[in-house]
Amino acid sequence: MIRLSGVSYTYPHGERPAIKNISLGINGNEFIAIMGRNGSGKSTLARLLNGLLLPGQGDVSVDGLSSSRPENLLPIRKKVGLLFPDPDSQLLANLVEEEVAFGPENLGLEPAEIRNRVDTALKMVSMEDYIKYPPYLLSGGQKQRICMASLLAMQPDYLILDEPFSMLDPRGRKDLLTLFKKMREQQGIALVLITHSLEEAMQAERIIIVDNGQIHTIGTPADIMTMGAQLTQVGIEPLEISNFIGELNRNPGVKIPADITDIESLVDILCPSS
Amino acid sequence: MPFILKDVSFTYQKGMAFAQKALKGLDFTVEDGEMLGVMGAAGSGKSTFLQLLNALLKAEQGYVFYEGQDLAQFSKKQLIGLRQEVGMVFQYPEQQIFADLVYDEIAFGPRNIGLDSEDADRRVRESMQQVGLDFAEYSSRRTIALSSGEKRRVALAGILALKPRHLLLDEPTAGLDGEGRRVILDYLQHINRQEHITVIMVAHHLGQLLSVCRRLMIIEKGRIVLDTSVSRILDHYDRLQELGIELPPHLEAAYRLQRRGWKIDTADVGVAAIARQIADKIRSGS
Repeated sequence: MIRLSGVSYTYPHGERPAIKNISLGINGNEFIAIMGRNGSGKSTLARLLNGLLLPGQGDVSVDGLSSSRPENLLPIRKKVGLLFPDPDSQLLANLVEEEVAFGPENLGLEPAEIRNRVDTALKMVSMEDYIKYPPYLLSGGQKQRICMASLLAMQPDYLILDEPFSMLDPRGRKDLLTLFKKMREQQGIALVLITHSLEEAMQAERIIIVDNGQIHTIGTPADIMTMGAQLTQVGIEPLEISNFIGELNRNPGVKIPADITDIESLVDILCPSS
Repeated sequence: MPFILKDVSFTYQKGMAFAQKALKGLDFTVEDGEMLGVMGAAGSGKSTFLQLLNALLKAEQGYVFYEGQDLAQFSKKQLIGLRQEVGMVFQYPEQQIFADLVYDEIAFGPRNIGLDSEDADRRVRESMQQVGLDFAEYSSRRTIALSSGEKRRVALAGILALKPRHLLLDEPTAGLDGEGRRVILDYLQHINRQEHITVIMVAHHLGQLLSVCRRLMIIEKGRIVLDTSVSRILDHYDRLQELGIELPPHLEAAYRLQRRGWKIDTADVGVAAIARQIADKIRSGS
């Protein structure tokens, strides 16, 4: 479990705290989504979860290890893998396989085990054909996949994904989200997904909305999707289907329930005859 | 016609171990003042396509014509002129911000092309207004202290200050929150409709592209697999399914209702237009 107790953080020379007094528990097998506008503190929160940033006040602990003790940082970072949104800022090796092997090598694993992890991780993100490629020759979305493979090869217990899909096409997003969910089921890892897409966040068990450095709302996807205009106020775009239903209901004489999430149910309500 | 591509192919690292064909035999025309959305999977060739249009990359085979002239024949001086007329906004453009102050960042381009400080100042004010950044509030702010949505707008203003006639954008809304996305998309639609600037944008969200573009192109493995006017998007329903691209809910619903015998005109793909027709049908009890 990752536990945050009364955590605040202010960047050096920052005028105001980026994170203010957040307390939160993330269970070892949970899938939670974090949402909020640009600049709300989501990425700062992500960096606090694996000890990349240390709280100015309060405490962050991972499976009982507090990030305030320097000797805990290495074990914490082995447990908690963090993926940044921009792939170019985290690629460093000359070849894809070296890139993915970098983490496992640093863990001091046997060469055969490293090979195995690299191959498996690349296969998981469907990039096994690029094993000998230099990362700089890949497209933005392919680089994002390589960064994911690097993270997976470390076999962390918690995956913190900060907008991991921003450069991927819809099918790529769906495939990778399915992969992460399967890993959670089969290997019991926890997923923390930071996203601007409520459609993606709906797949989580809990959604946390961060605003102005504080937790604004914690709820189930069903709670969050029906927040209506409140969502826009915290910089979140409602589901496309909710927008559509809202637009339908603007017309006099039309009243469609706001909590419908699948098109076929909606079409059945609109046209019940068939 | 600003851009004509004839049988264009492009290979990265040609003749090397990692040679990779990015585009294959592309034939394509863009009209003045079009607003074109480009989709495709990672590595499909979308970004390569954009970079061919302002000669950052040169076609390895075939021709790219700009205003009737073969880009391969352009002199260095002509290329500088081309890149002022054809503005390019890369992925995550805010990472290319280097000036300390917002004003200096946006003024860099105009100063660089030799405008005096008065003209440069006018360009800065105009382009800030275009992207919705208040001059008094933002011009003396430090770029490092801006949010990513604000930085994105500063980067965009920097390109606009060069007064491009055509604008190429690679995923201009990636990583932005709902509000930031809306501002950028509305703004792009505005400069296209009001100022007749050609806009060619790569994006991954079909709903967003349909909400502002008039034409949609999908690239897969280096080839154009769909090229349609947005008003005819439902004609290609099966193709989109094959490509694994989901329609936005209002169009998916319209399609399924059409299949159930409802007459819904989808020439206007806007949510409001579709919703209004459906509401009319419900009221008339059909």
